[in-house]
Amino acid sequence: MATQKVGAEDRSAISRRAFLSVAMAASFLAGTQNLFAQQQTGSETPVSADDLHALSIAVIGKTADDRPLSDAFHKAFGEANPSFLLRASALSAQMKAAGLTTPAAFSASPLAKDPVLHATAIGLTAAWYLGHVAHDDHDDHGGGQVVAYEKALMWAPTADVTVIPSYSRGAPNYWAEQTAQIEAHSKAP
Amino acid sequence: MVFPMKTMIGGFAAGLLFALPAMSQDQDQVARGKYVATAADCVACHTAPGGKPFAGGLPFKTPMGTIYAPNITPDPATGIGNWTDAQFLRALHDGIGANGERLYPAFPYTAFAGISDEDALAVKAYLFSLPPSVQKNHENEMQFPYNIRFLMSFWNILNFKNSGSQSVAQQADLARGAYLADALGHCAECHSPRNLTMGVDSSKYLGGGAVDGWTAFNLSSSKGEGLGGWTTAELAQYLKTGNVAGKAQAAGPMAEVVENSTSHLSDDDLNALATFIKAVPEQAASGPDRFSFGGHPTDITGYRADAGQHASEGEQLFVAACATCHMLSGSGVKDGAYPSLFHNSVTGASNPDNLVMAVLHGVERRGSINDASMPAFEDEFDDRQVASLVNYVKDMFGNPQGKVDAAEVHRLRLNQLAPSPIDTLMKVGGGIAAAVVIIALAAFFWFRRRSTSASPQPL
Amino acid sequence: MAEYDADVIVVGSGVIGGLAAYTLAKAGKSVIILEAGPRVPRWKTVERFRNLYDISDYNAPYPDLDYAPRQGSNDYLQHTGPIRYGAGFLKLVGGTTWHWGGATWRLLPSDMKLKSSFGVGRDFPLSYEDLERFYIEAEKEIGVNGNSQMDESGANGKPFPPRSEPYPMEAQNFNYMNAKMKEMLDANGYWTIQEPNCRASRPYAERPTCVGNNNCMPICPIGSQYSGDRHVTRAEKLGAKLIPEAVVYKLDKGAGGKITAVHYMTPTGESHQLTAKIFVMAAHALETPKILLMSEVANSSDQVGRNLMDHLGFNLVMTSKDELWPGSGPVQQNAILNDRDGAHRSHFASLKHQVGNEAANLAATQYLLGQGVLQPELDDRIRSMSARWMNFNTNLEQLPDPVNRIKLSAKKDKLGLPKPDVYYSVTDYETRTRDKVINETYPTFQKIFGGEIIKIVSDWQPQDHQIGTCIMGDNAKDSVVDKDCRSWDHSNLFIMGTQTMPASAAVNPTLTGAALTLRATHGMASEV
Repeated sequence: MATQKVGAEDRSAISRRAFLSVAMAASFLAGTQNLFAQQQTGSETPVSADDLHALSIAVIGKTADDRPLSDAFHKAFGEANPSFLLRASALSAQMKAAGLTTPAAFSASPLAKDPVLHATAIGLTAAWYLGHVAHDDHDDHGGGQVVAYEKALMWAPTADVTVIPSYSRGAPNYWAEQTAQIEAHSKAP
Repeated sequence: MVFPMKTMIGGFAAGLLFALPAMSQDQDQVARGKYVATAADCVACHTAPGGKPFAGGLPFKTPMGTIYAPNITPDPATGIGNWTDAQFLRALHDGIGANGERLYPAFPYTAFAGISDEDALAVKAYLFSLPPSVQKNHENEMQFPYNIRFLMSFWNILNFKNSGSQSVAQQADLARGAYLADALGHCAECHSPRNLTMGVDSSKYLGGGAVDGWTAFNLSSSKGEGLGGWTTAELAQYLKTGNVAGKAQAAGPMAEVVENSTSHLSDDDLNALATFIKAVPEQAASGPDRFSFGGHPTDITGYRADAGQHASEGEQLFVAACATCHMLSGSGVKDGAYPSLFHNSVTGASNPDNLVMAVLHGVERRGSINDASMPAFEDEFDDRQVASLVNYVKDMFGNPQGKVDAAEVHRLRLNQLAPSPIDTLMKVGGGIAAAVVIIALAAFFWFRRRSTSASPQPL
Repeated sequence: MAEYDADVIVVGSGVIGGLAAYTLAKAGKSVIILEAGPRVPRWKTVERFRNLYDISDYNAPYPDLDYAPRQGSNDYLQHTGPIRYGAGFLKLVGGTTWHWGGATWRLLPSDMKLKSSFGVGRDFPLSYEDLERFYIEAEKEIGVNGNSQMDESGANGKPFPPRSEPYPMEAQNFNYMNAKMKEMLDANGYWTIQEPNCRASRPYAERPTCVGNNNCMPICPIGSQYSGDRHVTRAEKLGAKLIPEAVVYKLDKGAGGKITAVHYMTPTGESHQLTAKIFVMAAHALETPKILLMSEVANSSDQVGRNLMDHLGFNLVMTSKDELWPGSGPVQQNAILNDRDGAHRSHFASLKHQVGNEAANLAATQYLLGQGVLQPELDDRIRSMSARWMNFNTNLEQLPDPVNRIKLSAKKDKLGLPKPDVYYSVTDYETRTRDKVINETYPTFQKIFGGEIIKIVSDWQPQDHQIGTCIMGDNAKDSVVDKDCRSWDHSNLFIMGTQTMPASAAVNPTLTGAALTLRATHGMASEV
C-alpha cells in the first residue's frame, strides 16, 4: 500500500523550501472541518465507478476523462477515505438532477455555493490534481494513498515551460533558451 | 600608443608575406594530413583514455593476447620522430615496422595499404607538426606462438591482399567513397566478420562484426539487420551527427568514430562515403528492419496505483531509471536529446549486446549538434537486473527476439571476448599443435599462391 | 594474522567519510568504512520519491530504520531547547548529500577569522590561504561548476575570494527567472551571484551532464549531481572495504592515549570489534559527538557536542508582478550576498538570500485549493501563480555557543543505545539580524518584484547544515581537535567534517568540510 503517515515531527523536519507548500496545505479545506460532522452530507450508497468518472469530468473537465485513472481514484477512496464516496454520491446525484456536466455549468450553478457540495468538489479536484487521496479530505496532512505522480493534473498547466520534477525536458541548458517562448506568451493578452 | 602599434603590425605583416610561400605549402600538407588522419581516425587507437593524443598506450584485447598501440608523436626516442618517409610508408602499406619487424594487424595496414603516398606523407607531416610526447611504448603481451612476429608473414599470406581498396564497385563516382571507407576509414575492420585466423573475412564484406563487446552492425544493403532501409542522406547525417531520429544513435566505439572522425568530414566526403556504403551488396538478409519496431507505452496508471509492487523487475527499473529521460512512452524528448527507444536500431536488433553495453557503460558522444551523455549503470544494476531491464525494453519497444541472460551480461560487463574458433582450437589441441596447424596452412597457401601468381604484390 | 584489521577505519560513509577513505586508499592504505545505514541504489530512491504521498518531504524517500534512524517521524532526536532542531539528516551509504541543493561555497578569509575581524564568535586555527589548495582539490573531487569571475563576498567587486585555479567546470547558465531576477536586482544594487554547485555542466567523473530535471532535492534522478556514495564506490575500487549496516557505538582507549578498537552492532544487535592504526570519525555532527560521549573519549575540553550551529533560515513567499517561471533547470542557481561580509558583522550576522527555483505547481495548487478555486478557473490560476511564485530563503550565520549541544539522552533506541538529546537556541545577534531583514530587506524585495506577499515565515528553520559539535582550535582546553582534525586527547583519532568548523558563515558548509578533510588526510597518509 502506498500509504504513509506524515507525523508532526516529519513536518518540522521537512526542508526549508518544501515546508512551505505543506504549510499552505494545512489550511487546505479550512472552515469545512465541521461541516461534514454537522450535516447529513452523504448519500446512503457510495458513488459508483461509472458515476465517479462522470462526476470527475463534470467537475474538472476533459482532463479528467481518463477511465483507468478515475477507477484508481475510486478504489483508493474506497480504501483510504470511504465516506468521501458517500459525499461524492450526493454531489453526483445533485449534479445529474440539475443537468450539470461541465465545470463552467457547475460553478455558475447554486450547487457550487453550497459549502458541503463545494468542499466535496474541492476534495475530488485535490485528488486529481495532487495525485493522492487523503485519509481525511479536509486535512491533506493526515497521509493517505498515492494514486498518481506523473498524471497528477497539477503539472499540466505549466507543461510547456517546466518539467514534472525528476523527468527530463530537453538537452542540457534548455532552461537558458526559453526567453523568447516565455516572453511571447507572457505578453499575449 | 597608436603609432608603435601600427609599426608593429606593419612589421609583422611584412614578415608574414615574406614567409608565406614556403609556409603555405607546408601548411597545406599539414592541413591535408590532419584531415586524412581524422578520416582514418588515427587518434582513436593511438591515444590511451585520458592520455596525450597520439602518444599510444591503448590496449587491444585479442584472443592471442594484448597489444598496445605505440606512440606516434614525433618524439625521437619513444615516438616516430626518427622515421623516414620510406619507413612511414612501409609501415602503413606493408605492415612492417621501422626495424623491419612484422606489425600485428591490430594496426590495420591491410586497409591503409590503399592510402595514396601523397595522403600518407601528409599524415606524417601532420604528426610531425604536433608536439612530441615522451611516452615509452608498452610491451605487447602476446601468447606463444603469436609473440613470434615473423609468423605474421604467414598471416599476411592468408589475409593481406594489398590490392588497394576492396571496393565492391569501381565506378568513378564511388571511388572516393571506397577510398574513404576502405583505405582511410577501415570500416571493415570492425564491420566485417573475422575468419579463423582473425583476418577480415572479405567474403562477408561489411556483413557485421564486433569490437570491445559492442556489435558492429551489418552495413551492407540487406534489409533487416543491414542498412537496406536507410537513405543515403540519413546515413550521411548519422556519420555527421551520430543521430538520426527514428533510426539510430551512435554509442560505444561508433560514437568515438563519429566524434573523432566522421563528424569532421566535408559534406562531399560524407555523401561519397554514404553513397558507397549504400552500394555494398547484401549480406545475409534477415527479418524486419531494426528501426521498424514500434513502442508500447508503460501503463503508469496501473503502476502507480500500487507503487509498482506488481510490476516486473524490468518494468520497475525502466520506470525508475530509463523513463526519466526516455519518457514512459519510450518516445524520448522532443528535441531528440534523449532518443526514442522504439524505431531504434539498437532495441530493434535481434542481438541484445549493444543495448546491454549502453546500459552498463552509458553513452558519451560529443558532436557537432549537441553532446550525448547517458550515465553508466554498471555500478547500480547487477547482471540479473540488466538482463531484466534489457528484455523489458526489447519487449516494449524493440525486437522481442534475442533475449539476454545474466551470464551474457556478466561476460559483456567484464568485456570477456566471446570464445573464438581459434580459442577452441587452442584449448583442444594445445598451443603448439595450433601453431603447427597455422604454419602448415599458411605454407600450403603460400605455395599455392606462388604457383598461381606470377606478379609480385602491388604496393 | 595481521596486527590490525586495517590501517585506517573510517566511521561514516557520507561525502566526508567517502573522501577520506578514497584519499587514503589512493595513498595505498588499507581502509575499512563503517556505515550505520544500508546501501540504496539511486533508482530505488527515485522510485520511492515518485510513490510518495508528500513529495515535498525530502527525507521521506530515504530509509528510516529502527537501528539507523534518520530525521523523520520517529522519536529519535530528543529536543530540550527552546528551538526544535528539525534539520534533516540521512543514514545510508553516501549520507545526506543524497539530498542537497549541491551548493559548494568557499568561506571568505574573514569567515575564518570572525573573532579577530569582528570581535564575535571564534577564529579558525588556520587561514584561508592554508586551505586554498585543498579547496581546489575538493572542487575537483566533488566536481564543481562555477563562475570564477564572481565576487562571492557580494560586494560586486573583483573576483573573490582568491582562487589559484578556476572552477573545474564552467558555470551552468541561468534560467529565465534567474536572468530576469539578476537584471531587476542589479538595477537596485542587489548583486545576484551564480551559486557554485556540484552538478556536472559537462560529463564529469562518471557523472552525466545535468539536464535540469528540477529534482536536486530530494534525489538527482540521473546522478549528475555529486553525492557522497561516489567516493565510497571509488574507494572500494581501490580496495577499501565498506561494511554497511554497522552501527558504531564505542571506541576503546589504550596505552598512551591511543584509540585501539571500534565496536559496532549489526541491525540485530550482534556486536563486532575492529582494530586499526588510525580512526577517522566522519559520522555527521550529531552522531560523531554521540559516539565520542558514549565512549568517553576526546572530551578533556568538555567541548564534545557543544557549539552546535546551523544556518538559521526564514522565508518570504510572494508572487511577482511579471511571470518569472521558476521550475525549469536545477533547483537553485542564485544567491544575493550583499550582507555576507562587512563591518556590520560585529553586530549583525552574515547573510545569504536565495530564491528557489523549484517548480511551484504543488505549492500553487495547494494554495489555490485552500482558497476554494475550482475548474474551469483552476488550471489558469495554477499556471499564473506557478509562473510568479517567488520563495526567498534567507540563511544567517549562527555564532558558536557552547550551550547549544548534543548530549546523551536517557532514552534508548532499538539497539539499546542512547538517543541524542539536542539543546538548541539563538541569541540576540541572530534575532536582531532576522528582524532587520524582515522589516527592511523583504519589503525592498517585494517592491522590486512588485508582487503580493503570500507569507513571511519567521520561525527559525534549521537548514540541514549541521556545523560544530567537535570544533577545531589552537588550544586543547577549549576545542576538540587541532587544525589537522586530530583529537587533542588521542593522537590516532581524527574527527572530520563540518562538525570541526568553529564558525558557520552564511554559506553551505560542505565544501569547507571537504577541504579540511583533504588537508587532514594528506597529512595522515604519511603517518600510517
